[in-house]
Amino acid sequence: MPKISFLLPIYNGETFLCETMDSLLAQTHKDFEIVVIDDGSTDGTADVIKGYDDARIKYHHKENGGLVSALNMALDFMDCELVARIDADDICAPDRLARQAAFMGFTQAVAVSGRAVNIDPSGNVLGLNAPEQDFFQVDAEFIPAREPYLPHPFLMARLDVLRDIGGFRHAHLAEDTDLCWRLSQTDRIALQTAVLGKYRIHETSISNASTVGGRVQAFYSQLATLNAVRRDDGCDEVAYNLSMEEAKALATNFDTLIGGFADNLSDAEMAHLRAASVMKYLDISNWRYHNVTREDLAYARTALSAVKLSDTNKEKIEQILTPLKVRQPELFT
Amino acid sequence: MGALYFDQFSNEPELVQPYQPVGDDVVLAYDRDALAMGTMASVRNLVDEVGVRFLAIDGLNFEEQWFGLEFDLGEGFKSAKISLKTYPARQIYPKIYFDGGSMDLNTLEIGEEVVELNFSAMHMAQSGLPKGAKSLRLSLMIPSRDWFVVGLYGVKITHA
Repeated sequence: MPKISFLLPIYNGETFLCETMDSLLAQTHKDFEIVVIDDGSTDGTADVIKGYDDARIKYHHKENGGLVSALNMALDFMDCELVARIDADDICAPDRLARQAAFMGFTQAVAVSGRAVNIDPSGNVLGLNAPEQDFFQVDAEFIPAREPYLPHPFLMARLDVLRDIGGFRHAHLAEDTDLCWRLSQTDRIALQTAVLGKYRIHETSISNASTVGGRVQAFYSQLATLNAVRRDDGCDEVAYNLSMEEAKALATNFDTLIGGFADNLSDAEMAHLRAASVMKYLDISNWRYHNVTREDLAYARTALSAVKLSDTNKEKIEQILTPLKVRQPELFT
Repeated sequence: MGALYFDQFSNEPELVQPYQPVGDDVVLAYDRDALAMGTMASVRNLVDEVGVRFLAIDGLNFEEQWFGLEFDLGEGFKSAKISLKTYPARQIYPKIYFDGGSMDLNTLEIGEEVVELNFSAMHMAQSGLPKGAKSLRLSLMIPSRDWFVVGLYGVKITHA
């Protein structure tokens, strides 16, 4: 049994796969395997993997079922101590495993992650990803929530803990946020300042391609927060019982999306979720460059007027709106 | 002086008592009554990613307690070099204790990368340490936090 297994889910990702695989096989820490879950790819993914003659690569093909099903399938049969997540278009630094494993040993955290250099599809450097400032000041009541977020492309976590908390769940496009909340409520998690690799940002990113996806991601991240609060309070969670297609169909605006869960939410939760979701969306739009609509902004104003904000929270709202005013000034005239 | 007691610890956490030595003239200092109040520490002997051995000190501190690494500087103290890292990055408050008083030194910010802290008798004198002060102890004081880890790599204390 290797100490560490890379977990690489992939769906039609042949374009950058070689670059990713090469970076995994070049790790200075050698005691690892690579579990590739091909989620029903119809491109040349299988051929790319078969081109590698390395016994450490374990390739599994399944019917297309989405990211969560691919990740959970892997968790079911993996046999290792630590799981190192990687996506099929990202690149690991050669010492990623060595540094992360040592950091986990030092901190005794059950899950860790680190920083990455953002690159475009051609590999051009866009900059260093922003430090997760909220990580050390988690606040579920804040709008939007300050999350205990570990950047997912370079997450490393103990397999037994991932299994114990129930693996990944259908918090669409915010599966990572939901996972981080549950990990943080279980044991120590830690964020390393070391740069562990390169994270590719490109137009085909699902939340980049559509504002609907952005709304889905923003909403589910805040619903994950609400569920974290409910767990803390010993209450039942709001079930993630919509499919991605159903969620996207409702996400033409926030009211219809949140309304889909109205039966399970109190009035106070609804009010908070409205404000938190739309502000998360505007926050995400500042780096995902979603085209924010006048309706989104009007919704934000109405939603914010229904909640009480601390002075610190008001400052944060202004910080979110300032770049939007520069990017889309027509919204504010 | 200052050798760390690597051989006394394994890679499994071992609870250490307040003021228990972890090296020659090096103790973990915290309130002797704090153990019952949610403050405790354990020590492990670890090797980092480049193969260097260090003592990992895990602090659990759910109370408003200060936690300190204390170094007995002894008579004729000339200089002290202390190599360490912390997670999360912490502000650490160095303080010199001596017979009849104490003196704060400049606050330090320590993070995940190992740093070597240098303290000299000459600098302390320039900072206001009374001439002829006896029984010098250097304390690196760490404010309370639910949990934190300190990696102590080495201590070297020299005397005139």
